[in-house]
Amino acid sequence: MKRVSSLPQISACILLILMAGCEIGTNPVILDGSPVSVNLSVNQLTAFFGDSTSVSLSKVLAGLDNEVDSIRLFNITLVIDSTTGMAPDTKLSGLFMLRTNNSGSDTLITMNSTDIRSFATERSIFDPKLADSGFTYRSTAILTLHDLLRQTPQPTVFIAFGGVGSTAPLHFAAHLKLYTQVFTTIQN
Amino acid sequence: MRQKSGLLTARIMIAIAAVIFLTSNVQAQTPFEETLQQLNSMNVRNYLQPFVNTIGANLNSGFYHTAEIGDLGFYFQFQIVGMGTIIGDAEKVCTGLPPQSPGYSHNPVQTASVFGDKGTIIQGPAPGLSYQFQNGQFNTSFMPFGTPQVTIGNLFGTQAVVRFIQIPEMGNIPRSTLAGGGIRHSLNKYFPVLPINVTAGLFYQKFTFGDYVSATATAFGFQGSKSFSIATVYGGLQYESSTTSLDYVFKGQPVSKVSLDLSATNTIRATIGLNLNFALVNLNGDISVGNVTAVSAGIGFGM
Repeated sequence: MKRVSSLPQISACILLILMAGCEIGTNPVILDGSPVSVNLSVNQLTAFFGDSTSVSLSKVLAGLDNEVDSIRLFNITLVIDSTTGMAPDTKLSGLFMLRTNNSGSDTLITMNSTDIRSFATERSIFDPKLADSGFTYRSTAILTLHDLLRQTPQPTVFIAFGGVGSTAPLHFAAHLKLYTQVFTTIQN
Repeated sequence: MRQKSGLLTARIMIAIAAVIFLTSNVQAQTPFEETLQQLNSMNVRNYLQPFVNTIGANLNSGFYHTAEIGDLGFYFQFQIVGMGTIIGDAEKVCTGLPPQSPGYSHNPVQTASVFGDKGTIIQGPAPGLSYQFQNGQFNTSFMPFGTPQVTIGNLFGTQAVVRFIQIPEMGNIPRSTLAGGGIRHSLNKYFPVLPINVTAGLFYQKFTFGDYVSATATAFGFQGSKSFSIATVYGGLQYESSTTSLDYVFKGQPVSKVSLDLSATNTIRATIGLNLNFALVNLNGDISVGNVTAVSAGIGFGM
């Protein structure tokens, strides 16, 4: 009879052993970071334009309540819209500049007579076809962004966009978007 | 005797409930569920297919340990059934599609499945840019499951099998619920010359795993057994299917709802096992071979 009374404990142990036989969550979950948008707006009666803004890279973590190990940059896109009131075939020549509080300016993008229609829809700035449109990015600036995203807390960056258009007036909005992956710490 | 048996069953259930309660640790979302929400409909299929196969293989295991069913008379058995699917190296990898972005290779890449280790890293079009596929989340070579199960009979050579378990969230394991059952019918009275006991069985189960994964499993098969003193050698051939439904919001870019059904690849299995009958206590274990290999074992109490 004593043997029978230990059966519930044995059964419970079997269940526990079964559930404990599998380790779950031993690798960190990789999350898509919230895209960070940099929005610049131009409304000029002349062909010259310029605008700047600041954006906190910590926005990558918006909406996430996980403990973060690191952040990795995997894409940057550009779209130019809100072009009502300007010639549709306008070409832009100019620079996107990147600056932080603790560093000098770095050129992120150079446009040389780039047709704004190339960015009528969101497009990766790393698209090799863009080179034919006079559009180039600078690897050093990408590395700077990569390093800034690895800082804790993530700093604020200043982005400036200036240059000259092939026509006037100029009315457009340029939106740069940073796409990242967020590496969480392991939850146990 | 019947009163004592009922008391015993109640104590077992209380013990299991206590274990479950003591190990519960409620989280808003488990890593598995967070991982799921980072997979778009293209990549989730391959990443999760091995897991879908284990769900099917586990659920369709452990329903029987003998093919001997009397024609009429009371039969009751309470069992704790444990089952598990063996995870080989092939189940630890899958094919993933890189981001559909210029500059990244668009060729499929071999990376970690849900049972794998670290996701593959692919270099981006510029220095400092890279993309890592999702990491594996189940670090195991064996995917286990367990459930209490009750078998009741015998009515004209027929037994009913019922299994049910509700497991709350435990650490990184999402809460899960399994409910299902089946019937088994002896074929010996139709074929009295058969040298072994033979039954036919039909089983159906419904399983939920966290908030985003649910599955149904169906199995039909024939079982045979032959007893030698306290030992019974049993086996079976089974046709089975299981479908796992995924329903979640992909939180990557662009945010979108993912609703899709994945079918397990295992459809036919052969099983062989051994049951030891010690009066009121049964011990059994078996192995099933099909597209995946599954094992099950049980300890049963009853008469």
